[in-house]
Formats: sequence, structure tokens, C-alpha cells
Amino acid sequence: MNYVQYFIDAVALGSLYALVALGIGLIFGVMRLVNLAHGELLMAGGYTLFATNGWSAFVRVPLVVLVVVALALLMERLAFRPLRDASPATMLVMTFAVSFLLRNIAQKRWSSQGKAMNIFAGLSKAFRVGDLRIRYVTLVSIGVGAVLLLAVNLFLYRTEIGLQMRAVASDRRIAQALGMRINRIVVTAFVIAGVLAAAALLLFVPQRPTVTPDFGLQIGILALIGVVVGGMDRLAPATFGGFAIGFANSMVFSLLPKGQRVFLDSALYGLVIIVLLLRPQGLFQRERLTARV
Amino acid sequence: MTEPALLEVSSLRVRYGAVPALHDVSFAVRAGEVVGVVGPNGAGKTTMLSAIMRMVGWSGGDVRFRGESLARRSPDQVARLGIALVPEGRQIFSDLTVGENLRLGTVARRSREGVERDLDSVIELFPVVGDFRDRPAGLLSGGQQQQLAIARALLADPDLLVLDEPSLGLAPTVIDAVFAALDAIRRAGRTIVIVEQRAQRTIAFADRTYVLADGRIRAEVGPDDAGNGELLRASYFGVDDGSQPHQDAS
Repeated sequence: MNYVQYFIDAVALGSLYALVALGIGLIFGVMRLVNLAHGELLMAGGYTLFATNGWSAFVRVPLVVLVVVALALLMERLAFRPLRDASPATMLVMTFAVSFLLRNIAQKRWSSQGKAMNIFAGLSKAFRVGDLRIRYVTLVSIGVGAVLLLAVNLFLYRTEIGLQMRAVASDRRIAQALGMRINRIVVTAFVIAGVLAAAALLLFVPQRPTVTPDFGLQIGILALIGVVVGGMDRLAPATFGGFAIGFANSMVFSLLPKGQRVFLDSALYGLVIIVLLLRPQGLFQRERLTARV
Repeated sequence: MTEPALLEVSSLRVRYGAVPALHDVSFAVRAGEVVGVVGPNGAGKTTMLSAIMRMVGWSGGDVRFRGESLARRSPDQVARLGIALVPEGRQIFSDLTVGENLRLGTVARRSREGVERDLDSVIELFPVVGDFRDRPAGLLSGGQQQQLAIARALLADPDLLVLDEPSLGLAPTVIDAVFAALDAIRRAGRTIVIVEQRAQRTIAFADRTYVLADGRIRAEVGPDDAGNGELLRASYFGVDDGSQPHQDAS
């Protein structure tokens, strides 16, 4: 049946948005910073692919990761770290400015025309299981998504620096007064967020094969909405929120009649408005543990 | 004073914007001493501790720890130099488990040696942190959270333990337990600075106590003055030479 097909595709897209959302959530956790420029990390990866067209994938993949992580670290060091104690509004405006600047640089350099990213062409191929037509990229997206989410989870819950990262997310002032080196923890969070963004980008290519200056904005804003819908305060709800928005995006697209697909965004954002009105604290957020006397 | 001071605060000044919060505060703490700081709400007690920890900036003066100025240190460096803070209102990491909170206490240690031994001794002092190790810390009662906050600070094996209003919001019997634990910690030879609104209890407990009001040190009193209500009132209300009081205590 078609619905199974829709479901599998939706899980795959959800996994990609979950990776982006987890990166946004990690950075929000350690810095209380809503990074509107997060999507530009994917854009930078996209142009890296375009610029290295024809090179071996064994070089291009690590290069994309390197460029994206380097850009994430640059953002942190030059734009966000100096504002760490500024008001949330100031930080938000800064991330908006960074996003705008990066998109403009891309437009100047590569124009607003789409450029082909061309990697993993084989992943677009499909195989049949009964009625189902499954593309390889679907399976790889789900697999890579699951492995990376699990890896980040293990990092946060099984390592010393992961524990410190959770402490900083819980209360940065107290964490620092206990001797934790905040810069080191924030930098680690940006590295992880960069790796997740690079992985998401590589898996987006088969379904969105061209990069434009707005490429990252579309994905980043949608993932950010997912994070808010899921519940910004904690990583798991934020990640589920990202998954849900990707899942819903794919589902709504599949379910809309062919001629009506231009209404995808309207339908999706309508859904977001309804969810936020019904559960403003976040779709997957439980009560906070505050048994203060 | 033959021994050099462990902590030396000299002419420390802090202002929040245009509002001065601490005026030329000076005092010294020698190793092994318990020093109290009491004063009414808004006197600048928490500001003073935050300034020593470098969690708020100074507008003048200096703080030396083991002879070294903290002027260019960040809060995490101050912690790793050997000052452990038990913050006001506990401020444990409520999403993390009790055991994780304890592990985070060890981050500031100068040596990993003896962690297990210290863990055993804080569990002996506060059995509740051993019993509830796997529980989210936010589910503990206020008194249990306070014990956890003190246990977490002790695991840094600090030269100086600094407590900000450890009795705040606790029931009287729980306060007794907290002071009993602090007494055990003192007997183990730890240097303590304790900031409190409960003046009499603190004065009786500490070797020396400073009375802070309006951001200034008004008096230094000893355990024998704990019953001297007149002296305390005069210091709290900022009465100099018996002339007009100018601040209301809440």
C-alpha cells in the first residue's frame, strides 16, 4: 500500500531533520543561543561539494565535514563567544546577521542560481520490495541518522565531558563555579553540531541535488521550528521535534493531491500553529523536575 | 597573626551599574578558621561571595588566595585553585542524578587521588546522597538538596569551603543537621566561610563573624557576643555612635 511507502520516506526525511535539530538543540543547551545561522553550515557544505565536483568521494566527504566544522567554530569564536553574556535578543540578532552575511557572500560568489552538488549518485537508485519502491538513500538516511543520534547520546551520557556538557546546559554559572572550562565545552558542542550538519547535508543531496544561497535557510528554519515544537529546553524533545517536522513535511507532501503541492508550506505551518497553540511548552516536553521547597 | 592568611580580601568594591553594592570590604581568613558573615537581606553578602569567586566583576580592591591575586582569574580557575562554593538556594543540577552531581564536584580537584576515599567520607557524612545516588537530584527535598550541594563542594577537596545561606528555606530540624555536618567538616580541619541571615546561630558557630550591612563591614564579633542583642542590632541597623538608624532590616 502507498501509505507504507509514504511512512518510510517520511521516517528518512525525519532522520535528517533530527540531525539538524540535535545540533541546534546542543548549541542552545550550552549557550542559550538560538542559532538562526545553523542552516548556513549546510549551505557551506553544499558549495564545498559544488566546488569539488569530480573529485573522489573519499576526499569530498571529509572535506565537507572539515569545512562545516571550521565554519561552526569560526561562528562561535568570532561572533557568539564575545556575546556570551549578552541578552538573548542581542544574540538572536547576531545569529540573524551571521546568516544574512553568509548567504550574501554565497550569492556574490556563486549567484542565486542553483549549483549541482553531485555526490552519491548511486544512492538515488531504488529497489523493489513487493509494491514498495525504496531508494537506497532512504535506508542510508535512517541508518546514519540512528547511528549518529545514538553516538551523541552515548557521548552525553557515558563520557566525562558529556556529563559536563549536560551540567553547563542545566546551569552555566554554577557549572563554571564548580571548575568546568566553559569554552572547551562550548567548542565541543559546536564541533558535534558541525559534524551532524555535514552528515545531514550529505544525505540531503539525493533529494535536493542543487545548492542555492537559501538552501540552508529553508532546512535550518524548518529544523528550528521542529526544535521549538518539540521542546527547546531538552535535547531529546528537541530532536524528536526535528524528526516530527521532517516526518510531517514528507507525509503532508505525499498526501496532498499532485496539483495542490504548492500548499505544502501552508499546510505544514498551519499544523505548527495548531501544535504550538495546544502545547506551547513543546509537543514532547514533560514537566520539569523542580521539587523546590 | 603569625600565619599568613589563606584568604585576604582588601578594600573590595563592587558596583552594579551606578549602584554600589560593596564598599571597601576587608577581612582575612586563616587556614583552619571558620569565619561567619551575617547581615540583613540586601546587605551584600551574596555579592561578596560572588566577587570572591569572580562570578561578578570588581570595581576596586583585591582578593588574594594563598597569597595569589584572583583579579585576573575566571570562576572556573578560582574553583580549581581550591575555593568551593555552596551557592545560595542549593542550585544543584536538578536534571542530573545525585551521583552525577557528585561526580561534577570532582572537576575542580587538583588531584584525582583520593576521590574514592572522599566519596566514602561524604556519604558517611550525608548518607542520603549515597542512598539516592541514581535519583534525579531535583526530586530530593530542600534539606537533601542542601546536603548534596555541600557534598558536591567537598568532593573538590577545597582548601576553602564557602557557603551562601545554607539554612535558607530549611526547617529547623534540618538546619540543625546541616550545622552538625558543618561542625564535622570543621573538625576535619577544613577552612570555612559561612554567610547567613541567621545571625545568632552563625556567631555562636564561627570563630569570628563579621556583620555586613549596606555593603560595609560594621563589626567583628566573637562567639561570646552571640547573646549580645544590643551589639547586633546596632551593627545591623547601621547605628554609628548611637545616632540615627538609616536602614531597615527585613
